Amino acid sequence: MTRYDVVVVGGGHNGLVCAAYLAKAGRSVLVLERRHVLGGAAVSEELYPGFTFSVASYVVSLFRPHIIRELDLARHGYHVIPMDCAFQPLHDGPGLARWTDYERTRREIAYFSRHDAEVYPEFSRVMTRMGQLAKVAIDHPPPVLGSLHPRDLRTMLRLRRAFRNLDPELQHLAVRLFTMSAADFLDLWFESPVLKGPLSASGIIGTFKGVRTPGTAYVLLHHYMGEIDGAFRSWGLSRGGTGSVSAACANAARAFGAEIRLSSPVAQVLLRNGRATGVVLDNGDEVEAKLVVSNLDPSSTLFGLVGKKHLPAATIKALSRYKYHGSSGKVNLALDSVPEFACRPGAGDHLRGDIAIAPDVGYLEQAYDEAKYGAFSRRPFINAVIPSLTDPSVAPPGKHVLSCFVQYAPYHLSEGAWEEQRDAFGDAVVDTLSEYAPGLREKILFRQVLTPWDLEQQFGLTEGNIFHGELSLEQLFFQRPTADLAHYRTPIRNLWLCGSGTHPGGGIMGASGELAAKAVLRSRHA
Amino acid sequence: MVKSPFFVRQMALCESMRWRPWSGFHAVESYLLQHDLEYYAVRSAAGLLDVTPLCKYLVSGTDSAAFLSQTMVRNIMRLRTGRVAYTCWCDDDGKVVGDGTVMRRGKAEFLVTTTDPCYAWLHRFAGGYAVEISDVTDTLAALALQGPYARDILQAVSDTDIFIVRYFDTCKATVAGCPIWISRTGYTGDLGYELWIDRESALRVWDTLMTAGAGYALRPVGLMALDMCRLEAGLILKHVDYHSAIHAFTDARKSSPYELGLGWTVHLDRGPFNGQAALRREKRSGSRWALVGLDIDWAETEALYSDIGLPPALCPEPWRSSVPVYRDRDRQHQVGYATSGTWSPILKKNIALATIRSGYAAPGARLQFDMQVEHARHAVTATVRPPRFFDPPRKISMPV
Amino acid sequence: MKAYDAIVIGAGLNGLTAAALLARAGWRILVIEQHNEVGGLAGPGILHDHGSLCTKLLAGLRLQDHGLELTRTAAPLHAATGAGERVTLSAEAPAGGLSPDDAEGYRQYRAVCSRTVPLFRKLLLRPVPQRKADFLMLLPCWRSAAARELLHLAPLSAKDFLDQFFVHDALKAALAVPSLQAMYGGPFAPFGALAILMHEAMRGQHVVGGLPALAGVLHEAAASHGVKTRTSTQAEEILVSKAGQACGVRLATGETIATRMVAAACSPKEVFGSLLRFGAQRHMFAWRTRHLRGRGTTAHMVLDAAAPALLPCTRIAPGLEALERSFDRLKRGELPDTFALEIAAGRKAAQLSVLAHCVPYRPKGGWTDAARSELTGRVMEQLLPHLPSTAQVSQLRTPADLENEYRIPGGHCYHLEQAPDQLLVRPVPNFASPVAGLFFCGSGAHPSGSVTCAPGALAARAMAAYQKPLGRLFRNNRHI
Repeated sequence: MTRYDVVVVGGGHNGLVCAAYLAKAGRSVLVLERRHVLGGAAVSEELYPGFTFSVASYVVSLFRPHIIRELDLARHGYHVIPMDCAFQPLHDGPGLARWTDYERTRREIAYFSRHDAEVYPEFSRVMTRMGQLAKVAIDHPPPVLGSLHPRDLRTMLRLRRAFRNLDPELQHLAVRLFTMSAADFLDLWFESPVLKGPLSASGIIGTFKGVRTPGTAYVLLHHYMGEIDGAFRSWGLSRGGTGSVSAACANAARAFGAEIRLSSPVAQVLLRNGRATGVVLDNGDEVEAKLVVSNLDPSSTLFGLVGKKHLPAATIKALSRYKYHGSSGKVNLALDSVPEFACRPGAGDHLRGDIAIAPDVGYLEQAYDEAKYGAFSRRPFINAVIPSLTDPSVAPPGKHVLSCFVQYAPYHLSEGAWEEQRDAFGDAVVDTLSEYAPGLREKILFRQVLTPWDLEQQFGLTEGNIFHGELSLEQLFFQRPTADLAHYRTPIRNLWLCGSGTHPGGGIMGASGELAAKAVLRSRHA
Repeated sequence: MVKSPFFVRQMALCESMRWRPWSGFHAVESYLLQHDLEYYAVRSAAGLLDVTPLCKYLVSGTDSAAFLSQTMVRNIMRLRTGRVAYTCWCDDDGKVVGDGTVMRRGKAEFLVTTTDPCYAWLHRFAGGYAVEISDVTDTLAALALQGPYARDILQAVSDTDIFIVRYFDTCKATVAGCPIWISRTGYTGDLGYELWIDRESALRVWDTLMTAGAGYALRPVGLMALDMCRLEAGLILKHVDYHSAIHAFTDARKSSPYELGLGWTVHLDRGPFNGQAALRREKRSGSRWALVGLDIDWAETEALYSDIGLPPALCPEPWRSSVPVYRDRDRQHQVGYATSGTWSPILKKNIALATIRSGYAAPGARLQFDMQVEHARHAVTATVRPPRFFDPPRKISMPV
Repeated sequence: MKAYDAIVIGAGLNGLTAAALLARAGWRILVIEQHNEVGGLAGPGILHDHGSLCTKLLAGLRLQDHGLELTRTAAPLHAATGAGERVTLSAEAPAGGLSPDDAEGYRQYRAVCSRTVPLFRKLLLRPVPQRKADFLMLLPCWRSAAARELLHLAPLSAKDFLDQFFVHDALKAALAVPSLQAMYGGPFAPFGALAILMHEAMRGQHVVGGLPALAGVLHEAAASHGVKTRTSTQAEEILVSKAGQACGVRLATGETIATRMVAAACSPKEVFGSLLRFGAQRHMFAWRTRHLRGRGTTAHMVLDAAAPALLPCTRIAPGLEALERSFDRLKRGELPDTFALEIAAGRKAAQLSVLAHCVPYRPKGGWTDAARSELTGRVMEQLLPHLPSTAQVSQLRTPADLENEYRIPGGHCYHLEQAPDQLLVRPVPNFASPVAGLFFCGSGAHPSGSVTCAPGALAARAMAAYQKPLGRLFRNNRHI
């Protein structure tokens, strides 16, 4: 039986990036994926004949450009088409579309507020500057607080330099940003609730927080760091669905010599004298390896694959407090024709980007207020894309795919179970959309509804949290997922974490996988 | 994109199909395939330019003079009714946010025009003042009639005595039955007027001017010719020669009025205004940079070309890329950068506007300008001089 | 007439503290107060937390000589847990009347509090670290286990934090009350734990006679050092010289008073919103202060009750979820059904002072008489099981009233919300505003946090340090 240097549990994009980096460094790597497809939540599946869905994760932007370069992902099929527009339909007026062209955007916003229209580029400049600061944080492993290790000091110095590069007003703002709420933060600039709606919505994606909840301004920044071709704040759609990003990572990993096995669920991590020595599959097979790297979220890894009895009490306590709070669902629709929005009819360019149902801050807060007591929002925040308008490969000619990210859908319902409420949830989404796009219901050929419960069942995301744990301040940076797991290591020797639950977390970023691989390679045992 | 009211006429006249976006409007770059004919029209006859995309704000209310005085570096309180002032406005650190003209139309009514939106900026300081700011960019069309014969053409069509309008004066007039405002201002450094017209009457005014101008060789003019003229006149352009302090990414990109050669617009000794303290400090301690004109040596340029057996090539269009300027011929010590320049057909010179460290910016100083000649880079001597390269007396003179 | 060395605007506790400390160092001080009595919010007893005075910072004033009496230990807190039932929570003694689970929880809760107290005190009771040396001094602090614990706990919501310790819902709600007062957010909002811990960190010996007594003592101490106080005097404008230095104060009567420095004990929003004219301020700073948040959600009531059945220092709150729902309604501008109530002894023997949290700043339709009586009615309904039915509300101050009466834009008792982004940088990291010679010394300045008098004391130090290089005018600076 072969003994691998590293076995990676879970073939999500982070696991694959991690495997590729390890294989590139000359390690023999085996990736084990539970499902029959690769990608974890970044996966494309043909659920209905002719229609390919980005089932869970649906837009790409945060993927670190240096990973694309270092793994040569473009050669392996990485292809992201930037989106041109962010459109927000409204009941009256023409709606609001924000374009990449500044003048065009200015005129759109000026319809609602002339003041905001002009302040918008100022805001973008501030966010770009903040993004530069945050980029330093996400591209390097988090420093250990108070540590005097040269590596940590270097990171601290780098952060300090980036911070000092900001002018004093921005420094002040940067300090405040981390603990502010998205709505308060936007209030600093804007007056129009219509503009603040979709902008603040970026602050709640994937979290169980409202736009007025402190801490969401950071999530806003997290989503503002999106970068395509060096341009900040641009989002894109992966050709062939987000599964092709994972496929590109997998191809890169294979090209470097990694082995990938599908339909191989891992039952537990093999422990010998308190060290991880391999994994046991569901079918009883054992795979031996010097190191085990887990792409699963921290709880599934440590509580599921290892078991509480092998863990120190402090870890159990800290990890039990780690918040998942899945709050989002997904509705995927196959459509007979392009949906038409009443406020701006036709299949114009405004549909070739993301479409947000977030008419104003109050609407979003109301959606949250319903959800925090354990019911899904009747009129939720929806972020929809129609990838088939830019990428004809995902649907038959003339037909379309509508992919809706929906919030809030709390994992813990106060009444009933998700299995019974799934359809009601799907209906709420379609109803809400139909208010803005009449006739949508008749165009639906196929509907898939994924509740947080389904996300947990299907993708193994604990409590259905798409980011492997909430992006809230007490579980970010050197505390992600918890203070003692923050550096990709676990209390079990030779067992490492590389999923979204580690720094920097969240989104199709690849950074967790990359930083984990680099941490593994730095350790003595690799 | 938005269309100016003159778009239909421009569309018919624009043979070259060269357009450029300007503040969200379609603007003609040049009507003809050769833009220099348009340039010559401005310098020898008259040119008509659509400047509707300029941002225009009507500031009114009893406090409007006080309000503008506190936002702008110039004391607008002292601006008499019927006069126009060129000014800039700064942030607290005395760095320029924007520049433009302020036209006093009445005791408590001002028209502010600028190339870039500044509504939000003005709005920020309006609290506590009895003042109303309204954006009239889309409702007020604007034409620039520039050139030695501009006065004659305008006199021919209007009911007011244009001959008594002095430089930077403004007055009301009626053209083709439409009431308009005329100001003797412009961006060409030549005799010229700007016409502020209600959108509905815009086309009628255009047609009347074009008909009347036919006898004076009036031509519609595009932005390319305008760019050449403004460079000859040494007039700076936002986003090209300087960056607005609120949009600049780093402090190094910001400039003060003194550094831009706009020190003459700053009225320091008066009530408080934006950036006053910082500007006072700078005036006392001196500026780090200076905006100067560069006269690029033609003989050296020609020699570089003849060395490789080529006739000297003229840059066909005004350029806007940043070009390093050095102290020494070896190009080791950079002392600044040129931001825009052009071949001046009337002066027969290559000229440029440059931002130079103040120690090297004395007129007459000889610097080295980085020039590419047939794939190779060379240093060409450039002499520092005041930016106003071309300043004909007719610009400000009154007819006798 | 010789100019004053400093004019303090507002004779609240912080203003008086700063005035007394500076006068003691030999400064000529004038305090301007718009009301006819000193004490600011403490005067009529709108603030309740009289157990958080930072006696160490005030040691130089010898307040005991002026009649300050402190209890030996922190007074216990009572939390109503049901109709007529309550439990007693004291810092030292084990809690009485709790279920075993909650008693154990309370023990742990106290342990967490006492572990983080030194850290809080270190961070808050000194100027905000700005220079490298300050940071280095704090380094050992950050390396401590308490710092790690705090970093983990502080961002939690009041609910997540208290759920770790307690079972009884009303008990949790009672302990969550400081977060409702300090921040604009319900018990589900993050950083509630921070507010609770901060409140606990500051709790100490109580002032006998409550805050009105403290105001009197401070006033007397200030007067003994030569501070002049002008009550019923409204400041209209802070005058700034051409050189950009604060040089005087113009009163509503038109009179101007010259001074070398100005210490504003009023809300920073008020200073930059109406006391300073344009041009005297930096626009970025003005913009920043305009956007500082101070949305008050606390109303104050005076109750006439012949024989208060309820002990003072009692908190009555429905469960956490009920409070959160109240807050939801507040957000939408509606009047909630239930509130979090804090009860303290009133100024007179037969009076009770009640603070109601979760009251909207301005309900839809405004504070009409109907809305006001609706509010008092609902509060009384909630109080009724604990009070004789003869009790009557004799006075009500809504957040909007606080705004008008005390010129606090937004009507927040602490001038600004104690949201984490408004803590260490409120509104300037040190007390000097961008206008030379103008200092903040009120509750809106660092560190705020209940009634500590620390902003006044720290601001006085900052002002003395600012003056030092300008000359040896003030010989006794070192005493501050």
